[in-house]
Amino acid sequence: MTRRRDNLSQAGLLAGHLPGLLLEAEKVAHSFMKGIHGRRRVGTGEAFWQFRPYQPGDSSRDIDWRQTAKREDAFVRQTEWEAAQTAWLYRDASESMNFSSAQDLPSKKDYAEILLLALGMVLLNGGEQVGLLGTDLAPQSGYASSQRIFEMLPAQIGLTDSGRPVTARSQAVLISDFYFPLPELASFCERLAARNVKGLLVQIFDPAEQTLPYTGRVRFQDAENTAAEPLVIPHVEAVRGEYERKFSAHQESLAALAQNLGWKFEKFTTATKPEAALTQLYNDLSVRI
Amino acid sequence: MMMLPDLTFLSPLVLGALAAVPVLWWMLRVMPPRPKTVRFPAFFLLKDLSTNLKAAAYTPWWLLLLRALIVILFIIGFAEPVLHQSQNLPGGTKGEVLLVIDNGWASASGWKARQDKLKEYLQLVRRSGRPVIFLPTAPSGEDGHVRSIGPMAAEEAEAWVDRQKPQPWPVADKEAADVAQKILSGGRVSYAVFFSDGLAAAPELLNQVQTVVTDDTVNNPYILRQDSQKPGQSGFSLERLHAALQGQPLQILAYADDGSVVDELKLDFPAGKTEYAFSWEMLPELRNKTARLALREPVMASASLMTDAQWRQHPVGVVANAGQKEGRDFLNEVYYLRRALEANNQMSVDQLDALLKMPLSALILPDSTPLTAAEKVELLDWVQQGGFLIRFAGPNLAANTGGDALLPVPLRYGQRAMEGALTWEKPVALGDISEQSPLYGLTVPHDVMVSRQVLADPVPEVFEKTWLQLEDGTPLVTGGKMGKGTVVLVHTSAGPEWSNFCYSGLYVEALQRMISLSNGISDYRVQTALPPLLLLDGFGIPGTPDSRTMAAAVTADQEFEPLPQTPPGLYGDSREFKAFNLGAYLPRMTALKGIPESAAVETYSKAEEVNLKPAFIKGALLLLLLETLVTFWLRGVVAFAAVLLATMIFSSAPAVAAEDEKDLVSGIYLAYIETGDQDIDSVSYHGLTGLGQVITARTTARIKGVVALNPDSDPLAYYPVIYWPMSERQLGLSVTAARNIQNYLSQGGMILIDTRDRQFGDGEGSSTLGARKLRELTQNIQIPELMSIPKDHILTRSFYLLDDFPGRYVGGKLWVEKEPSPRHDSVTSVIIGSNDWAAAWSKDEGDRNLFMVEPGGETQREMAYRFGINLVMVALTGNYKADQVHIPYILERIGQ
Repeated sequence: MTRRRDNLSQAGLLAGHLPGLLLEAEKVAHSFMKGIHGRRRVGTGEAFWQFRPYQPGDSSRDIDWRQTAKREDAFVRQTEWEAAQTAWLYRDASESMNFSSAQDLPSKKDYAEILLLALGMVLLNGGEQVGLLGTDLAPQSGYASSQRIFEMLPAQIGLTDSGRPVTARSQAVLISDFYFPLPELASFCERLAARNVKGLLVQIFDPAEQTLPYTGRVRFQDAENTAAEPLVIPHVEAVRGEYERKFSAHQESLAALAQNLGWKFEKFTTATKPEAALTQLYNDLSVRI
Repeated sequence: MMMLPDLTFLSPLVLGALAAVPVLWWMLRVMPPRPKTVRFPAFFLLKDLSTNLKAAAYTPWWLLLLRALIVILFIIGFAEPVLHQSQNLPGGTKGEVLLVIDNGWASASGWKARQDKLKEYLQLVRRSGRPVIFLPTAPSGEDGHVRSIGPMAAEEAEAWVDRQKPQPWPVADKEAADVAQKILSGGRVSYAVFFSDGLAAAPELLNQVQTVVTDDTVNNPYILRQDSQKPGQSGFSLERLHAALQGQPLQILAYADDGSVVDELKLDFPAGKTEYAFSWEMLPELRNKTARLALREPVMASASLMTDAQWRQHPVGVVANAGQKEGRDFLNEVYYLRRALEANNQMSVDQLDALLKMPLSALILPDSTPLTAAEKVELLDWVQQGGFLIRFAGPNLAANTGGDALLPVPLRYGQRAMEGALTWEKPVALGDISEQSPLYGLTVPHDVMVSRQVLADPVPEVFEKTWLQLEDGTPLVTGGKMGKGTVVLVHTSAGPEWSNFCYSGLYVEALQRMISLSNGISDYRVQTALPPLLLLDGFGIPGTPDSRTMAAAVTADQEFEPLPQTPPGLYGDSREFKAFNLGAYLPRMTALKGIPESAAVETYSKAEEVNLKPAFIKGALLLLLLETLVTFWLRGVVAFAAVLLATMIFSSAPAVAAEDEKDLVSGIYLAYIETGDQDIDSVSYHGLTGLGQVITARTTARIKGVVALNPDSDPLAYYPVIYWPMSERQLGLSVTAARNIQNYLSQGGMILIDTRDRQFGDGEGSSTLGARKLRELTQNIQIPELMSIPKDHILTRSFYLLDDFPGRYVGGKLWVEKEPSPRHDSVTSVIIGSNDWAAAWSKDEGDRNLFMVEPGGETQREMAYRFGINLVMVALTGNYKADQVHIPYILERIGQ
């Protein structure tokens, strides 16, 4: 499994880590895929759905001669309906995602990537097309393409309009901690919505970011911008209540943003099992399809 | 007397620094500890919190308190607080203080404690500004009377106390009471204290003092006495004043004239007893060198025994007529007796009437000396008075058994001849000495042959009286009491006529033993006035009398008594002297009783000053450490603090290792060097285990286990011998490993290197695998020059006699050090061979052998074990067995 990266040394650094991520994602995806089924309605597709007695109006090309020969009437072979949708996936790779408050918790970035890859695999397996938002990768289909998506993942560096344009009437899944000014996000989402793209905002956060479990005198440093003046809070317990309120207010405004566009909003802590998160996301997506 | 705890500061000015503590308090409030830093993603949420942050900036109050406490402790500590429990001497500041001091022989126990206590009192006296009068209760050595000293100032008195020594004679408490009475009646004395030696004191004396200082631990004198009742003068008894609850280990040392220690005896004074009798059998040479016996602790005149002629010498007389006296004839019995006795004894050879006039402890009567009937009666009389007679048999005795009274057992007429023209019998060797015999413990040589002897009548008591017998059970030496004395009969001749007994070492040893059983010079009496020669001081140390002493000669008509006029010691001149030991003239000790109710009782323990500075500084440092940890914890550097804590806790880890080492030295472990090749290491392990079992089963050595060694890291010094098989897989030795092995060898260790390649070559060729590996591994080790093992090497006979050293293979040459260092008892440090011994020795858990041995089968395996046993024996015992065991066989082998 080789990765093509401009920066070879960085690739070396990541090489030991990322395949593990892929495996983890596969594990999550497989445990989920055992339980899903096809579309269960007739359509244009490859998979056989049912035989039906010939009715006037059916194309003679649809007659299944082998089946017809076995019986008295003519039978038509129907395949399952398969309409390939495209899902554009995105995960935030900013510095603030590289955070985990405890040793046994994955970093938010790792969690987001596992979720993205697993979701990609499940969708590919379900016959959908999967693209990576903001990269040059054409939407992929077929389960085997998950490898390519994985390989292209590092190229996804920010929420931009560059890269391959998002196809109309597709789905967008944005996974991030959304720790940045909401107006920026809102304008991006509105541009997508304008092209009839349905979306799903997925917030990943560390439990510590919700509860602020520190005590005493603590010097906080901005993870996103290390140059920023650190903030010394002499008594964290004193501000905890206010912080928690602010945090949930932020989540509410995210939810409201999604609501306005007819999108969905999901939030997971990194302590949530990725399988559970994946199920939730998949359900959110299939409802719309 | 009131005990008041009293705290003073030696540097009180430092306490001024306490004023600075509030300033520090303020500074600490301004400078709170560094906070811990957290990189936080949701920082933007924190940034615009509305809570007022500044107000919350503070140092926790308990941290402030902790720091303030540290500073205060340091300041107080450096002010050097001293806690002392001081007393005030009653009696105000007027008048004089009378200190009555026991300074007789018993006060030598704990003399230092007495002096310290006296000085402590003098300090108190000094504070109250009163003069002191001393009253030693023992009579002065200069005029023989109890005299008071003083009054003098307390400063002067301290110097006087330093000069004092206990006297080697008893106290005169009655006389002291009179003197005290005289002093007190003067009315100037406001307070009187009695420093007791723990022995009973006259009530007159006790009634006059306000305080009695006595202490069972300090006042525990010992008396060492020689038990004159016991034969051989090896009986002693020790007496002490107070019985201890536990057994008391004591040591008695025997000193020579020059004060060097010639022998020692360790004793355990039984718990709950005040008297303990014991015996001490010293070797005659040491015994004769001994000039003084004394307890090592406490040093006291009463626990010191001077020896005199009676102790040291057992003068022996050999009865001989004029013709025999100077005979050099090898058939002359007197010649053999003289040669046997003259080294260790003062010996006279003379006619009986001359001998009986001398102080002798034993007489020896050879058969060839004829005695007249009158002489026989005289001799019998001498024996019955307590003399010790040793007789030898011979033709004269054999012909005149009837009517001879000087015999321990009745004899049959005639002699038993076991060699000669008319007998089939062969000369008979000596048998074992029974435990009841006074000669028990002497080594019986097997080459002593008795060809003729006189026979005891087989009456029942003969068996009890037999001291030494022949192989066939016939008595050779018999002995028994006769009146107060003893008669011993050797049933064969003193010369070579009837046996070769006189050529053997046993002849000398047995005579020596018999003589030491005799009473010494029992009728030695003081004939003339004996001047003092060496006198004991209060600590039992002998010294020549000085000019100030009033010690005078001991005269014949005078009953000795330890007094200033006649202190214990040696009296006489350098030729002829007699010891008067204190112990012999002391009555049984009785403890101090009847202290009047009105008197206070105090112990000799010092009311010590306690300097509290170390405690305060220690406390401050501990709190400082705590503070550091807390600060680190507050900053979140928990890991660092944990490491620090772990370092502190695990700093005790070496002790654990030492425990292991202690286990290693508690028994014998066999060890092998780990080669890193699992198969070979397993064979080594099983091999040494098997060998260890065999050694434990067959010898007195107990092998505790087998240890695998990595020469790089393990200490080697604990193992008497290390097995080192060569393996292709072993990596080269590191420098440390090479140095370790080198050190092991140079400190007397032994390594058996097994190249295990006998099957590939004859061991001569240097190209075999093992040999090459050996050269490679040992290139950094200096191996001494080797030689092929000689026929008479210690390895061939340290336990078993071996010709060959087979292992799994046979015939490989064994190489040993050519010129082993005498520092290591000339024992080879390196043994190199190729026979793969471990394989032959190896046994698995089920006691089954793991390898076939070629070609000799089980016999060869047995030989391999024997080699292993010899090897371990050499490692454990060195060369000492080389010339000790198997001498007859070795002689036979040499062909003599």
